[in-house]
Amino acid sequence: MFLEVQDLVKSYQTGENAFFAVNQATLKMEAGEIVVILGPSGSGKSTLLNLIGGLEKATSGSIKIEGNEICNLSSKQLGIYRRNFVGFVFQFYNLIPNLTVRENIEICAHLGKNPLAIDTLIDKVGLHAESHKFPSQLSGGQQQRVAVARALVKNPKLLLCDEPTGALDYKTSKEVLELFEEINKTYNTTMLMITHNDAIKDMSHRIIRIKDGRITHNTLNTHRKHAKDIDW
Amino acid sequence: MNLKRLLRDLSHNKVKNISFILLIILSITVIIGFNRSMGSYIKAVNHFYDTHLAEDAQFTLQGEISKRKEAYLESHFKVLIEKSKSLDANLDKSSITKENKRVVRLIIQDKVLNQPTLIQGAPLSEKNDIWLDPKFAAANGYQVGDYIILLDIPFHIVGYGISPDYVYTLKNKNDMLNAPNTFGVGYITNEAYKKLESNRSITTTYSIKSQEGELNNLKKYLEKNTELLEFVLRKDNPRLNTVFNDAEGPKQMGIVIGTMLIMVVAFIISISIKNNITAESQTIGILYAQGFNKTELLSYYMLLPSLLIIIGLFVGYSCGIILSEVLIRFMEVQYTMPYVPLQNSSQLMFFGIILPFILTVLITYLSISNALSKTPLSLLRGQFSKNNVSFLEKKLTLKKLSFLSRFRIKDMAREWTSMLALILGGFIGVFILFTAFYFNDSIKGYINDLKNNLPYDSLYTFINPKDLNKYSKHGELTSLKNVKFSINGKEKSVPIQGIIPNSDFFNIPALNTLQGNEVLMTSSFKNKYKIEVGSFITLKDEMKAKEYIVSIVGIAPYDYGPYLFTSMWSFNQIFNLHEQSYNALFTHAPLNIPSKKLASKISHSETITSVTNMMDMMNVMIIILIICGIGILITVVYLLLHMIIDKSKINISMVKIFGYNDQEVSKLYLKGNFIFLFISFLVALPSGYLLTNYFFTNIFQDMQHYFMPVITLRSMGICLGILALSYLGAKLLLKKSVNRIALTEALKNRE
Repeated sequence: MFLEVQDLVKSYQTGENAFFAVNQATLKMEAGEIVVILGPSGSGKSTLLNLIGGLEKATSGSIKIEGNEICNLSSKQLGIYRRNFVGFVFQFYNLIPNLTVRENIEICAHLGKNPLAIDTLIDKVGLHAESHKFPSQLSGGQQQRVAVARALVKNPKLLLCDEPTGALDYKTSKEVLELFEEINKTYNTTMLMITHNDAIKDMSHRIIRIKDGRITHNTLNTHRKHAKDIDW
Repeated sequence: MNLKRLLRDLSHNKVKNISFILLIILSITVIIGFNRSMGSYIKAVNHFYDTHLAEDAQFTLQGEISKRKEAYLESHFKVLIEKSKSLDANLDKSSITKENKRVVRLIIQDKVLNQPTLIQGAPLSEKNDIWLDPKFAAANGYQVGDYIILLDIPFHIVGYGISPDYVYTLKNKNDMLNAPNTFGVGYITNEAYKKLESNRSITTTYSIKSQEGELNNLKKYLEKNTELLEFVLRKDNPRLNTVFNDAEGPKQMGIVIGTMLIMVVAFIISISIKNNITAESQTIGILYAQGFNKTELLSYYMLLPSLLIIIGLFVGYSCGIILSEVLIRFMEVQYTMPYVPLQNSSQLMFFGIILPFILTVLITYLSISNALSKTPLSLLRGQFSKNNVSFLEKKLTLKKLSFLSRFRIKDMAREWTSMLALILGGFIGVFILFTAFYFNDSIKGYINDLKNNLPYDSLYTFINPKDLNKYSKHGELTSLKNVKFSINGKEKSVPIQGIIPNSDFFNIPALNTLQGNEVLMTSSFKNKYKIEVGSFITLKDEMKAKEYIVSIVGIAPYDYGPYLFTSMWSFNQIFNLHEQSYNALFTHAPLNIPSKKLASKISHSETITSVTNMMDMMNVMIIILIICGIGILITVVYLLLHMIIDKSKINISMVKIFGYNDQEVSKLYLKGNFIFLFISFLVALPSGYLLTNYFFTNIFQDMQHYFMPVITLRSMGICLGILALSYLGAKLLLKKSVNRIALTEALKNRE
């Protein structure tokens, strides 16, 4: 099993009351899977993603990546975990404005033990002509492609995507989803994607629904579609 | 609501705002401290001269003039003339050649001109009561109530006093520095004086009170009709005049450094507020869209700088008041004055309060107003936000450099205004450090030069050359004359020295080949007056109202002040004197020559002691300057790098998410900025030289010595070390800030 999450809890103390952002979450993922987590705003999707990505520490429970527990890691060890295992793609791209497309990708290339070739990746995300442009000179979709390439360049085993199409229009969203699909196929990257968009679940291997911090559904997608075929 | 938000901002950015306030406080403290102390001192001296009728000039004759003649001169030239007698009493009777023989100059207290004033104690009521000059008393352990035996008479010290003509208590007017441990003045009753003067060597000078126009006529008359030995205007008398130069230099230095610093601080504040505006551009766009206008937003953003400068002014003013009390002590070390009330002048209010306020408000206003001049839509769309890339950043491709170097350079280019502020702030800090080290090295260098270059033990210049014959066999004959010359429209004084062939004291082969009107100058003279070899200058002998043109043909291999050297033969040629004419004597050991016979005495050991004492006094000033410089450096570096880090918070958070560790993040965002401080270092080096040069020139413009501004390689190294340590210190503090940036910062980003 690539990822195993067991009875994961993330709670915040607000006064005398404890607020459970993630409550007793349990899930499993095989390597190379695309998993989509669906749920309304405030359901705990992003918190679950952050916990798996080592951005936040769990209150209790267990997260194992390739059998290694990450919940008891120190901040420094979590940094090494993120560096070696995880790539992130966010809704608002978070590119460094004064670096070119190539440089924005290059910044992560230094981190991987076995990084992918930057130029190949630029070609792969279709930004060959834009490689010397700055983020402000790109469209939203192009910026998200850079963010994907940046996340991938260090050749991570796990790609965590937080609403990757949330800020994009329909056409661009589909292009980005197709890119994810292609990358999954090419590099066998395991992907955990959270989204509001119910239609995206169709391209995943596994669908997880979350509500009030609890996982309500965890099912395999037996009628998987290609990204280009999904619609909303 | 604005106020609440402002208070929230103040508390949220505590360290940054406190740093701003500290820098403002430092600027205001420097301006107020120096201006108030030195301004008050100048005012007090002027007041003392006015109320105690300081002489406008004094003259010395060969012999005395009758009362009738004195009355004639007074009515004819509309002047007030007072015969002023003084008697030098040795405190140490033994050993006539004792080097540090202590002398008290006794002067009658009841005078019309140069009236002595009581500083502490009681009026003279008994015949043998005395007021002692407080510096001499302190240096020699005398207190009010003690007795001092002078000329075998026990004088009862009933108080400390000083007269305007001894505010700078020089034994001889042309002495380099005062020496309170060996020379002081005492004011005694007329009765006591009359008893002492019989059979003793009395010095008689005539003090004059008048308008300068009349003085010139009087001088001409005296030259024609009497044997005039000396006629000295107040402006040429170091005892009365040096105090003004000494106070004016630090006063101006305080204004220049303080104002420069306040401008840099205002610039840094404006960068900080501009960064805030950029970060809040979308909110500002919404506020514009809701109907707020620019004036309303401007008034909000101006609240912070206004508050900072008001707090800074208030606290800085109070600190300046305290500093002025400390600084006035520096003047008290050198000069003797009755109580100096510290006063707040209109100039102080302008430079210390109004100008800093106007500069801060104006600089921040211009910057904020420009930042708010965007259309609501462009602000809403974030078109002027942090995502924009400047022309400079676009042009910087830097393909050949490694990624990390490219990243750092691009980041620096993005923060070019902050880097400029870093250079300016660094410059002021280093500039102050350099000034401190220039002072230190220059004075130490001067002491060394004196030790090594002053080739005689004593140089006695006689008022009347006839007196020289008695002592000529005890030393080497020479001639020394103080002459005037014009430079940049101002009249300056310089001593010219004639050296005999094969001198025991000076080894200057070039003197043997000099023509009749040729002289050599010292390096100090060249540096002080910016005169080059090959120049011609016109020397004016004021006593004889004659002018002589001389050619400067070289640099003398001795340098202990701004002097001109020539051969004895040339000296006499220049001044049309007969071949065997001399007026001074170099000696290998001190001689016992009555002061009244001497126009001046330069003693190797006394000069070195005086300059060393001055060095001790300057040490405190140097330490204050070094502390200020380090404080400015650390604060400016910390503030600006902190602002850059604040601005890059999201990116730092992002690179942490990618997996960069704390050390790598620090390398990316904190490394490499030292280059800007190094630029400051390079710019500050000549600037420190210029300021020190200006300062020294100002202090010594009417004195016979000059400290050549020098800085040793060691001091430069120390400055660079302090700069590097300040940078490392600030960086260490900032590392904590960088480490504290949460990973979730990037997750909050919605742009």
